[in-house]
Amino acid sequence: MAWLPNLFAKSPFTPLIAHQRKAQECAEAVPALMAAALAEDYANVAILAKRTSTLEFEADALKTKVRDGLPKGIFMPVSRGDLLGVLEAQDEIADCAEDIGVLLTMRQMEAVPDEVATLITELVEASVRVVQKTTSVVERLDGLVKSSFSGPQVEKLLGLINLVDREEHAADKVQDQLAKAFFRHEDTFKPAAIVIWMKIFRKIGNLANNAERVTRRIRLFLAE
Amino acid sequence: MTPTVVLVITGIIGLYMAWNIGANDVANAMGTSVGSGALTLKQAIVVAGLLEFCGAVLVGAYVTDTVRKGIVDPVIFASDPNTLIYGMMGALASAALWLNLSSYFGWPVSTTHSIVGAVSGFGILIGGFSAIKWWTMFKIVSSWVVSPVVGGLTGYIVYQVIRKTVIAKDDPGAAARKQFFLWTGLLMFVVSLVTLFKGLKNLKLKLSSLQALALSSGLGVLGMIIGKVLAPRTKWGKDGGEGGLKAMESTFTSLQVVTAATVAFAHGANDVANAVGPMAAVIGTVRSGAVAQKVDVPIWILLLGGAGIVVGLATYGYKVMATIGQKITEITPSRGFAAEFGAAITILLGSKLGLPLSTTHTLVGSVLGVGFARGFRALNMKVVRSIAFSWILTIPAAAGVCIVFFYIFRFIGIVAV
Repeated sequence: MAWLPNLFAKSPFTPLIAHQRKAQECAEAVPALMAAALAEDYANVAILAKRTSTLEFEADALKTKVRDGLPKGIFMPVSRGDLLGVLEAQDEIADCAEDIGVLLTMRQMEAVPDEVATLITELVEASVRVVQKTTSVVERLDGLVKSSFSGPQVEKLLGLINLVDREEHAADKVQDQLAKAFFRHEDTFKPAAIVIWMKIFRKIGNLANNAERVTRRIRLFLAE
Repeated sequence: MTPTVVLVITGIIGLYMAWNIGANDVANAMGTSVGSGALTLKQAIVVAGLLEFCGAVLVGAYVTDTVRKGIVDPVIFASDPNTLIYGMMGALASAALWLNLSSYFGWPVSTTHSIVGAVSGFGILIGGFSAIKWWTMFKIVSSWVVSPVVGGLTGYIVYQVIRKTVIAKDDPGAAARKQFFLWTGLLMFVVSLVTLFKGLKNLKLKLSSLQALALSSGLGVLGMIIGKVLAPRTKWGKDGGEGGLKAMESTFTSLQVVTAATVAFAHGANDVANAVGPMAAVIGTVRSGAVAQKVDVPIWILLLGGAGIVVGLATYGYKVMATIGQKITEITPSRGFAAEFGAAITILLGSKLGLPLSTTHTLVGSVLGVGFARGFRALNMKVVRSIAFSWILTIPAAAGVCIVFFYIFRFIGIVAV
């Protein structure tokens, strides 16, 4: 009767949660990175960017672990495709964080006007908040499975997901303000700087967007 | 070989087969309960031992008849009864060996398929294809496909009901407590109905369908009363979180134990035939000197088979379950109860209809059924594939080995009758 344990596969939710936590770590490295860049402390920027890269590499290892635990023959209360979709969105969070570090090391940026610098910092903080709220959603997946996707847990989770939506919307608004402020000061920026900053703003915004994508895909699990 | 020698050797091989059945299949009944913690290992052995034995003795006669003479027409052996004897001995030896081998490798091989394959194998050897009672074979093979499906459906339905009526509530613990008596009543009713339907042959108890229904309803009500009285008291409050679920699980623990006991009973009933059927054929033929058409299965053979099963589970099954208990943490009492309920009913029904089912495959079916109702985190469908594989492999393998053993026994023995 040794086959009985073989009938049960390892839970894919455990490594998934671990991966999201690591992705959050990557995102949480961005505020320090941005602060160093705005203070024009380029030695530090290089070090912090390298660290973010390392974290993203660790996230990739965890991503592989999740994938390894999802053989074709696995049968779960959620579809394999849906789960991989969540993983993919989580992975984008880590990638965005790494990309921000890479972009900041591409050229030595000149000083940024205070108004713009403040909004950049605000956007970074808002995006990281979305990622953190997303992690708390992902962490509840295990409890959700325990209750077989029924009961008050479902309502609670949907409430949390709605909260993530609202936070992401708030981050979008900040991104909008930032763009407007940036263009008010467009003459103080060299063309090359504009190109890089635009890319960076996009990436910071994507931290929040991808976090919201994660929760959007988790909503799919809850559809009965 | 003198008749006595034949009987002794048959007895030994038969007991070896029964031992294997107990050693390997006990986890079918008790595995999920040990895994969920509803029973300790020692408790599982005691419960299983008691109930396997009762199932074998009380209900085992029906399936035994099928295995003994339902598959192969005994007429083909009329001219030389020795071939029946050597063939059945070969069937026992090959099935037991195949079982021992596959349990060592952890394959989900069916005891039943092995014996049926072996018996058919030498039947075709002796009497050609016309020797097989194909209608019976068809019924048997269909039941192999149908039983996991029925087990799966029942498991699915039971778990969905639990999910909607208990787990989905704000206070699952309280909901479970309130509904406990309904589940005990239902369990009692269904188990009685299936056990009493067609009466109990060995206790010479004949019941009409209506009588069985009436008696079962009465026992069902008794079950409800017992449930009301014994409903577990817990102090968990309503919190919609872990606490409520824990309380619910502890309520289902006792239900799971009862269903596990039922599966053990059903398994004893269904699987004892795998050992006893061929034994009874040999003993009957040796005794009467000719191939017997209509002989009741004597109760002492069932007692012997039952005892063999109990010894098997107490010696080797013990070890198998110890490793299982450590490895499976997935199964909680609510899931275990649903899966075992499905398996128990299906197997019992099969026994009553004289159909030798695979208890192994039925349990896989019911576990999958619960999985479909979102009961488990992750199940491995590869096991399903290996089961399909074993369907294809077991029968020719068992048939082949049986034929080998048949020739060996015939070579050794000159005359037994």
